Amino acid sequence: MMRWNNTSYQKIKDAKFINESIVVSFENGDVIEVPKGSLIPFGDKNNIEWSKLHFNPFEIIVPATPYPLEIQWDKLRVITDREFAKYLAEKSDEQAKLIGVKVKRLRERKNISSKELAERAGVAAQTISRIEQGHTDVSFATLRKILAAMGYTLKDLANQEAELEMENTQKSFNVLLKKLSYAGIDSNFLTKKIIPARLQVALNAQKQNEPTLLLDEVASYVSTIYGWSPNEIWTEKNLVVKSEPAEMAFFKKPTNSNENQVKAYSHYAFYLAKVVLKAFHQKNISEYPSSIEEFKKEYFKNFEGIDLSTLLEFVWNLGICVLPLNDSGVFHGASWNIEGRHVIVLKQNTHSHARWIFDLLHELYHVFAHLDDPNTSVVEVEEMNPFSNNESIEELEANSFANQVIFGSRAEELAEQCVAAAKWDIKNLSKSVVQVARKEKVREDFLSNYLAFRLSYQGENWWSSALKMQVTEPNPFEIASDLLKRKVQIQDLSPMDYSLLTTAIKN
Amino acid sequence: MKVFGNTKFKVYIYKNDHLPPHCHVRFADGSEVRVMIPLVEPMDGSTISKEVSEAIVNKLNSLTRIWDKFHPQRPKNNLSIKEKK
Repeated sequence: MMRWNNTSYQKIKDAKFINESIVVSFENGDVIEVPKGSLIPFGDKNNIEWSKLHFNPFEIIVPATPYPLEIQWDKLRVITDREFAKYLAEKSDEQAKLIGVKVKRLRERKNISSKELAERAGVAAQTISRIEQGHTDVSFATLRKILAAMGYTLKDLANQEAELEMENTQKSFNVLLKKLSYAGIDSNFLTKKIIPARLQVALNAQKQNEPTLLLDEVASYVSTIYGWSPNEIWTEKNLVVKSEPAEMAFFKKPTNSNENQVKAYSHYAFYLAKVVLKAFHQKNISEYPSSIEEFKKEYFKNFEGIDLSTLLEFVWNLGICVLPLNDSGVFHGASWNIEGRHVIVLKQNTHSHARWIFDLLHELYHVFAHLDDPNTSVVEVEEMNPFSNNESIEELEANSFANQVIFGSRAEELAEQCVAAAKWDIKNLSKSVVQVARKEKVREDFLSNYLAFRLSYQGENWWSSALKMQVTEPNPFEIASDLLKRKVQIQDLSPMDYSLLTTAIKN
Repeated sequence: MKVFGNTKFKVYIYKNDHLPPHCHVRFADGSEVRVMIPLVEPMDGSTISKEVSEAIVNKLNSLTRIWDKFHPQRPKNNLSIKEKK
């Protein structure tokens, strides 16, 4: 039980005004001193007669004009107890998110788009989106207006849980899908990646009368990854994905309304990262290089050029696991330090080796430079490229490291050479990239990729040419997953972890 | 400020209180539960009787109006500048 739920933590035993502060004793023996300045509400209190304060177990009342000043116990506690204040802040965030989910659910039930709802309610579309995303800065007056525009009241919002619980008393696969969808886990992903095929076959075969044991087995996969108890999954409130894997360190909130999906996918990737670590027992791990020069020295001592297979081999030999994933969506990769061991998750939807190598080098730098402390992470919520995420120092450094490994410090110089050799005409650029790449001993796919991104930032679309120059065979996802299978002892995993990991790395 | 109540319990809302929005429910036996509004959920994981919960649900309009009035510093909607543009 949290200490603030204890009556003796709440009840005021004595209160006095001493030296411009209120000194309060609580029943549990705590004595706190609160300066009067932090208790005066904005604006409307004159003539506060602090010395004439009186109290009851739950509040202190100070005579004032025009109304007495009432100071409740939790107000005093929140000022002086940091943990209590933190707990309340988290609770506030949680409630706002829950309100958002419920408003969205009501809107979807009425089949109204957020744009239409905004028009009906006479509010900005962003207001609907802010409420649904769980922002706390929307007044109840606005919330009431929005609900009224859908034919609902605050009472409907409050009673919705009971309705959902009624629906949920019937265990079914559809109920599970619905609940998971609100938590940011879509049905396609669930059936493709989490639930084993044999359970899906069984579910399909018994659609009319899904056996409880079968549903429980399906739910056990979900609860293993997301840490929800079976009770939470079937009967209780909305499922909320815990934030830890996504928020341990440099996590940047996605800019659009997909925070739930990022959290849900990060959680899945984090679980798999832990599974990979469980099955990775490599000894003789080399130390991480301490500079880019040392990195290059070590790498080129063993390998001739930068290619995906050798780079992956080098990274694994450092004791860093690399897990490739190939789902679509808002998560673009991550690195974790889990109890002092590192895992990189790569998620690319293209077959371009240059893109995979760039992402791997980018994440590798995060591991070298930003993830020294156990239980820290970087989650990429934007696509990585040589110029992306320039507002974050960590991302800039990681981009710079990748570019330096690939091009030395000559990326811009090479780009200019290409443009000059093309006589500043984009039509000649493909040819000039080939020439410059040969002359400077740089891979064409790296250089064309760099140029295409570079040009796209100035409004030129040179992607179709750059794509033709990409190395795409063998499939990079398969290269990474085959190496993972060779490096870890998958057969040692529990049947559930085995199923989750092998499904995740199956092309 | 007491908003409503009966012989068994009384419901209060305070000015300048902390988030999340909530009311204080004080019972005749001297105990208290803080209930978050508008979802009517006890703040500290305790439970409330159906009678209390229904009473709060029925008074949600007035409770939220008072909360808005007592917490004017809570931004109403900070997006208007962008919309005007």
